[in-house]
Amino acid sequence: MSALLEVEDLRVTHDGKPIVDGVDLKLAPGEALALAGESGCGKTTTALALMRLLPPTLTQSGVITLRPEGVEDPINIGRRTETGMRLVRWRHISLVFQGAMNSLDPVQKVGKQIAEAIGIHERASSSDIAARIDELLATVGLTGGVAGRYPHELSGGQRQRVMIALALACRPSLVIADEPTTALDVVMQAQVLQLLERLREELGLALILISHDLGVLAETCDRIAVMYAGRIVETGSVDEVFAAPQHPYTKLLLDSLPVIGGDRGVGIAIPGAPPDPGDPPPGCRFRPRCPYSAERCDVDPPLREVRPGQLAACHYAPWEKWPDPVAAAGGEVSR
Amino acid sequence: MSEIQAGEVGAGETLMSVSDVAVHYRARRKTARALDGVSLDWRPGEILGIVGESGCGKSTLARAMMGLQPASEGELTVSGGVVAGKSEQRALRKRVQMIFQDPYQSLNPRQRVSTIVTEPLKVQGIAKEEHEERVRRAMSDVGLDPDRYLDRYPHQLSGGQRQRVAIAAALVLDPEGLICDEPVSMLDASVQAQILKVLVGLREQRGLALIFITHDLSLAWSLCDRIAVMYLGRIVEEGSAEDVIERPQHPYTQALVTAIPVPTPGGGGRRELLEGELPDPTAIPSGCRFHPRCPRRFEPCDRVDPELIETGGRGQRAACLLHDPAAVAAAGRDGAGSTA
Repeated sequence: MSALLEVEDLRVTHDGKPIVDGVDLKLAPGEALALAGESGCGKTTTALALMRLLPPTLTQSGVITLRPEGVEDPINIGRRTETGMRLVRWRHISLVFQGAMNSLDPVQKVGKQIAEAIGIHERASSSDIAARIDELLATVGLTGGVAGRYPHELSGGQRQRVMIALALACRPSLVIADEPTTALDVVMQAQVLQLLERLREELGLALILISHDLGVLAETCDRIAVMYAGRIVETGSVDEVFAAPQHPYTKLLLDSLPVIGGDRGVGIAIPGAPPDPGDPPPGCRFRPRCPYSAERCDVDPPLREVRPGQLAACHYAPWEKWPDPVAAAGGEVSR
Repeated sequence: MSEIQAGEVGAGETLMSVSDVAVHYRARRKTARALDGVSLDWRPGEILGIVGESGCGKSTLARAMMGLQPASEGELTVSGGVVAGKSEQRALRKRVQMIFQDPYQSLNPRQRVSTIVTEPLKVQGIAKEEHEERVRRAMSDVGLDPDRYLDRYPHQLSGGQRQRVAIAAALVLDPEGLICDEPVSMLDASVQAQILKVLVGLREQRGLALIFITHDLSLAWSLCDRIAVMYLGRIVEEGSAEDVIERPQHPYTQALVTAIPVPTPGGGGRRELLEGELPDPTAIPSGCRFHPRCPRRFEPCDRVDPELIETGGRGQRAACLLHDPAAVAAAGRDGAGSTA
């Protein structure tokens, strides 16, 4: 099957300094890809670049190709004009961004906002649109009555569902969800994740889910790409990467999470803080924080296949067995 | 790993107790009951977790404990003495301090770290000769080299370093307890463990008691000795961290635990999720406040407001009528043990 989305060498710079530094991604129709990483690693910038929604102070380059079903010629997102992009956004790719629930227009009823989104892309009679709105709201588990409400009359979880309904309004083939549940409580978060999963099944939607929460990603996605300082440092199937991580950063992030039923106590602490991707340390970007670093780490490691289907940017991968990070770092890392 | 286990920690004595504390806000003709009758003991050297969804009252409880939020009803006692007036509150602050979620907002951007950390000593009127030594010790205790960091401004620090400064400013008074309101939720995953290590280390070195307020149940489970679960201004379950999270007895706690995302692929599986949302605190449901959302409600739940009931003999208590044999028998229904 040909890829729905293919990204080659995506770069985003600010004043010549990189924020996203050569990212490649591939996504099959209906697939769910997790984009993981800490704040400032470039995951949100990547999402905005895919939508061509970056602020004018940032410059993007690289090839982004989208091949939605039923569209003959592939869409070259990187080369579209702004007018051309308007036909692509929401129609083929849509975005549910972080805190999206606060970005609804506060003085317009929910139904009107959805109708507007549909109206940009299609000519439809108002009764057709009303039926579509009811259907969309039902899809995301809301009653039709919500259409007549203002955003302030809805709870956070309901508003987030409205945002997802908006993202689905023009039946896109790819939805990018950037931290869609970060502002929500565990119960609401689980409800929204279950909704996304159901929509994928029912609508055959492809999904890029961006989150810093590895638990959320593990439950929802097929494949994962872990970003660090503007680059992908590890990618593979969610099962493989969580069972046998091949980059020290992924390994330590997983170790830092408490897992109920496992060992209690504070997890592994990674020393230092993530670097600025515009001014990365020389050699491997994770080197200053890595308990396993050795002489070869002076050289910037390429992202390469280290196990079947699993890529990691570490000279010493594949790691068959991870040495104890505390012993390896000689006291630098601590439990 | 924490070396002191729950139960061994100052059993019997309390550092601080709240009894039947309520915080009500009046808005037009409605009254929001943000905190609605909460009793809780915090023991010396104990790590106590307070968990719940946003709006459940956990931060209000912390603010009431610090005297930052006057209580409408109830009483606060510190080592047996009731905290009533301003002078007692001032004395309380010497013994119990608080840190907040956002280290970007809680530090004055125009003050150097040295000024920020010295401030509490001035407020409490500690002799000037002691200032430098106490400030340097607090900085070292949170893992910041005083020679490198005392002259910096907050904008020259990372998020993790700012939270360390906030902890240092709380520590200079040598408190016995530290209330931490979501201390790591604004920090990067790789930095969170650093801060947690500092806090747990303080308990081990200084015997500092901690209250962790968090919505993250896995985190509470991994760090705390005891956990209290809040729902709509009430504590609905409390007990040892292992008991409450691994063997929850209140249907609400059970629902929260089920909703935790598991960082193992497919680990979550299919789950029964709680429906609906937290009701409005101006319209708290009758009877058990959880009954409209409860998957296990039965006949008396919409009229009887349950007290905390012992459930296992190990100090675990749940405010649920399923644990009241009389209520269960009267309704002709199986008790909590049958399907839990």
